[in-house]
Amino acid sequence: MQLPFGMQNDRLVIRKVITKALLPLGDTALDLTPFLVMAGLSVAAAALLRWKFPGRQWARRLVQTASAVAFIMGVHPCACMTRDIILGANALGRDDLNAFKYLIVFGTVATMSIVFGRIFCGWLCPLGFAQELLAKLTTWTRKAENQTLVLYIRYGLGVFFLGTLFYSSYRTKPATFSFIEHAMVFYTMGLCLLVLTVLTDPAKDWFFKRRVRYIVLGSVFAVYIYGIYANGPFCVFFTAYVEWASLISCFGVLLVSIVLGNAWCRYMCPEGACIGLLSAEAAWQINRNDQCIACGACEDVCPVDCITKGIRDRKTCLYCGRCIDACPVDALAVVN
Amino acid sequence: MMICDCGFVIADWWKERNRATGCLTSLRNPQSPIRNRRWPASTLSFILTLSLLSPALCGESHDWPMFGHDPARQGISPVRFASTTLGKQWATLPPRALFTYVEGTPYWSSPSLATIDGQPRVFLGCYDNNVQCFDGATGKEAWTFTTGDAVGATPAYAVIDGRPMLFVASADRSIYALDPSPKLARDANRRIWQVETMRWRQTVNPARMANPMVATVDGRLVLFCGVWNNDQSGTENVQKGEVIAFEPKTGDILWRRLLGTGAVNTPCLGTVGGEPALFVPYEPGAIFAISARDGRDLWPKPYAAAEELHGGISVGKLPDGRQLLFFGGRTAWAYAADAETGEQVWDINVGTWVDSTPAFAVVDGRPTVFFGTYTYFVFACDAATGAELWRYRTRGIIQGSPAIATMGDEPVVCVNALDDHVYVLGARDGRFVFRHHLGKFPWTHYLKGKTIWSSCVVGALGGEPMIVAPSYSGVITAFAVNGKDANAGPPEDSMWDALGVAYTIPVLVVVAIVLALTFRRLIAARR
Repeated sequence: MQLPFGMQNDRLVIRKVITKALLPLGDTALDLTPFLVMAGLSVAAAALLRWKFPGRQWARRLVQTASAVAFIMGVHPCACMTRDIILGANALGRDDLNAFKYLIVFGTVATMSIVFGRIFCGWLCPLGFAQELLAKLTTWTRKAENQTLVLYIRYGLGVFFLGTLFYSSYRTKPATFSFIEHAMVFYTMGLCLLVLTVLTDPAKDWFFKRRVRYIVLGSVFAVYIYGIYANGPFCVFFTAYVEWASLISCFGVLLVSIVLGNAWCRYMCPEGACIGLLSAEAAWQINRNDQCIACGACEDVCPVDCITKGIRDRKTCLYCGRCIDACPVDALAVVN
Repeated sequence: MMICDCGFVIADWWKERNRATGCLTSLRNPQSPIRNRRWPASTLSFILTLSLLSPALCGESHDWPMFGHDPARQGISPVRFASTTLGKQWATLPPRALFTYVEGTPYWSSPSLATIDGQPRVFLGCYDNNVQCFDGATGKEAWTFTTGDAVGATPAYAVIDGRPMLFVASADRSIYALDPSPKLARDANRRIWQVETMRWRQTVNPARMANPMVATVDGRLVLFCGVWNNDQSGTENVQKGEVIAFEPKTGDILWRRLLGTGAVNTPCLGTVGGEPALFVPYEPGAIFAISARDGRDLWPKPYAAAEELHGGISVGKLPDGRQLLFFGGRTAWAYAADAETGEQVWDINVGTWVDSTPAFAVVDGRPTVFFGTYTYFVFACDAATGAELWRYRTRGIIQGSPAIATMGDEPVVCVNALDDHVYVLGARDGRFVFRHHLGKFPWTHYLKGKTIWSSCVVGALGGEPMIVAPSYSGVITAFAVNGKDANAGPPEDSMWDALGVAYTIPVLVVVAIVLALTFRRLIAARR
């Protein structure tokens, strides 16, 4: 095993700790391990979500940690479900190995989403996990005494972040092939502007949530249908190596989540948008019963602010269960 | 294994001829003397080492008879250009318009070069189902043979029992043996034999054929080809990746080895435990070492790659006697593995995909391997340790395999890039030597990994060392030392690069203003 990152030939190199398949499918590089891990963790997450118990959020952190470790350390093919649908369907009957490699990702996540809801986003996704952890800094900064200093720190981070993004945009060059491949850098820049707008006008949150991620999903589908190999911030966690644009956009997403929790999940993530559409009519739903006293405790803890006056947005909800745990009268529950 | 050591034989013959004539002369044209001059020791050792380390066919050493020049796919040509001042020698006529194009098919295959009955010939496959032969001295079309589908694999040339033969692998699932003799009429039927690797049904898809090669195994010539066939029928679905060995004279199948359902890419020939071995890249992510005699496995288990292998493999022998396989994959890494055991020896980060076949040569006594990558770079690495020696940034993706030759006193690397240019770089230090525009990219957009184009090759045509560079524009261009200078100079950053700065700065200013105003409002709100 080698170190997962380092400098090599004056390039930042990030590689998986496990570089070869643990459970190869025949004489291929396709590793079955991540799919088994994904399926297993999904079932575990579903079980933990279904039955309420004290400390459930700690259990959720354990599942998220296990998932992040598995995805970060292991090597496996692209986990981009939007791309995998297109490439896998195209390969069926012609190259079944490739078709399996692509469709198994979508198949695993879609099955779990249709049955258990959007638990991939709330319990497995390492990018969402990282955002949640960083969002805790926001909680700390709200309690800090010197708010002006905190704001200047955010300002400095924002300038540094934007400068890095623009350097990356210069490197990718407009009107070249790489420009489209690395377009997620520009989406992330747009996310930064969205977040800044929402911070000053919280009513914009719903306006953007209902629109932006579906525009992103549509544009991403169009790019993949054209066969262009666009990357994204989640590639840092899933793929066997990291391109500069993926790293930059992931860095930007994480920085933005300091000021607004799970901003990427709310507004931009195309995979989340796709899973959200599948889970809107999932077999498992979080419902509110008549015991609700409209205290707003569920709204306060929701990482993506998907609850408004007790009504949950099914397509945005991450199924993290924090609302259920926070409810003082047990008015919320997962029902089949 | 009996590796045809024609390189040794020819080197000795070359010295004898020199002693007899009193000067250095071209093998092909005794009337065309090469300047009599002292060769630097390093250059001489480079050239002699080429003949030592390059298993060659019993043919003309200045030919480029197959993909990668020889069964080891090392990409070395022993031709020596008099200098680095290259001019355009000839170019084929502009092609007809593109009628159809299927992703995954190159416009031209990489060429093979041969001199037959004193006539220099260039052979290429084309996306329009044809195999084309051009006069290597003038670039004029000599003859065309039409197959049933695209020909993306490089034709392989060999002399079988004194008869010149050209072997073509077509996507119509067939291997053809053609008579490339210049004595035949232009419209003569050149087919000697044809073998269909899978029967036709209305549900079959075009096959994917690896570059065929003819190699000497146990003293006799054998034709090898990797084939992937697909019948998309719902009830009798076929997906077969296999290696087939043919008797080149008759087309009889000697053996077939099925590797799996995935595609098979360009294999190379080496040895395992003294037995002739084919090292076959299996695209889903493995390398097989199979006996060239009967196709059985020679390693305990295949080499398990970290990702898909879309390029070919080359094999090189180090001065310490070790045989290493060199290859890249669809990760950010290029690799070397021990040919005897299949164990990985080293890897090096090259940024992103390597879809080409690496070239191997001993430069100034140091075994060196050359990779072209999707990050626009040509890398040169120490073949024994993987340590990077130099890298050179072109201005486009490099998908073609490098070709190595000598110009003046200097070993050089020739490679095509997606910036529409052919490059020649010094093999010692990667210094820029030559660049020329080959023709514009004809399609509306490029599909990463699926838009394929071919490699340039080097050989002596009509006694003249030439670089032959096919382009996706449809034109094939040959460069030689001919008193002209077609060097476009080193690449400069394009207008779009400058525009990137112009585009970036105003946007940066606008967003910085928005950022500042927003934080100002935040601060004001908190007060």
